[in-house]
Amino acid sequence: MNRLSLKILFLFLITFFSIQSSYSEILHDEFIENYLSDKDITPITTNLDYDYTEFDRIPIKLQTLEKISLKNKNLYENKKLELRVKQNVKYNNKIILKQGTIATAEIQTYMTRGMNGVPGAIILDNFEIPGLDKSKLKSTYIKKGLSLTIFVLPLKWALTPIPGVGSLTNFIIGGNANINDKDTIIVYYYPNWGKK
Amino acid sequence: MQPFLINLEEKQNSFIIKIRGIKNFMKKILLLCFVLCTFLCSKAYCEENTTAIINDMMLQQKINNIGVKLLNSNKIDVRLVFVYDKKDNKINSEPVLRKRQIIVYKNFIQFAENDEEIAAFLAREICKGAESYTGGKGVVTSAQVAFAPKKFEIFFDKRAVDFMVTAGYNPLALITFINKSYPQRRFDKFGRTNLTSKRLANIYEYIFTKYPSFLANNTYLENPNYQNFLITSQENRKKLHEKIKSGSKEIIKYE
Repeated sequence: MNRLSLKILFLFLITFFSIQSSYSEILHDEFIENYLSDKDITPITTNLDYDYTEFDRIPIKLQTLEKISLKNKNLYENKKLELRVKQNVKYNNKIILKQGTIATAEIQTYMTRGMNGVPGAIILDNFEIPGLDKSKLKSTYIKKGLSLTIFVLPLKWALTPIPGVGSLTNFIIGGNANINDKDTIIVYYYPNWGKK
Repeated sequence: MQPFLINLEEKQNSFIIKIRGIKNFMKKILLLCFVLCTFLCSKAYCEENTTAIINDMMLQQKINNIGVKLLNSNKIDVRLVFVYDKKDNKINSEPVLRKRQIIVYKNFIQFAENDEEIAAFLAREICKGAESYTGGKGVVTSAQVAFAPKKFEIFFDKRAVDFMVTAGYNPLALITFINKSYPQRRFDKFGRTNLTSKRLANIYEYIFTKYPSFLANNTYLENPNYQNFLITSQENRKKLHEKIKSGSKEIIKYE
């Protein structure tokens, strides 16, 4: 009996230590975890309860306060931007947003220009306009640079019979994306969109 | 002698008749067995076939549900359809860009362990499909995506992360899905695609920058594929750590 209980204890200890050792093998990105542990992390916003029955929409015209360009080294993802409302926004003959109101947006991501005439692109999202429900905005704004693909592709095909020359068109680079303060950024507000 | 011969003949005849009877009986038994086997085989085949059809239907339904959830949550107002195809094939941009039809091939979907990983695959393809609508009828943009896929690859990965988060999925599933399903090439300097390790590092950095809560409360930490990503991305993550320490905003050149 004593031998049996010793065997059971032995097996239990082996199982326990093997589980412990397997847990200790789990890798962690400790630097990131430590860095984030004392940061104030903004909660994630999802959009799962929607009702898109209504289609009345109001365009809101905005302009940036500064020039945003892919040439600018200070451009990075998640950067907050300030935008100014260009015109009064009316709904049911009432002004719901005054001209000059400051709204904010984020640079969601961007793509640098590339070969074959591919232009650069900047995407603005996460617009926040004072007094308006964010979930009722349809607001992703994409600005692209000058696309040269429309010239590159016919040229490539035309030059293909001459060996090696068609491929040279690969090196034609597209235009950089810029958002000037004169550009009008239009986002749409759907006042009757509600949750289910 | 004669009665004896007659008796023998009768016995022979009765024996022959008996043998014929047994033969006929055996034939009937064999026929019955054959019919029974055919019936059972066809039934099994039908059942197997029906099960396969039901499985395909369920998978198609799942893909539809996840795909439409991604479209609706992200307010994507362009038409895209999702098709499950049992063929093994490479990811082909052509149906997405031309027909706006996202085809999920069997050899890719089999890598997905859960809904989040299916969402990861679909979110990337949705980005491609949505891009094919931009700029007039989208002909030029589609040509750009087809001719310069490398340029758009990381761009689509990042947008896929945003789409997944808005639809309530964990974007770390994109890392695990890509980690197990995309091979690692030697070079990408002259290739049409980026190194998978480079893509994964960019996704990781993007999640860290925009959605750090997923890394702070990491539910994928015990996932073997995520662990594999951690062990294979040490050099790239070191570069990210250096960037965070220095507070730099420059783009990291991942390997």
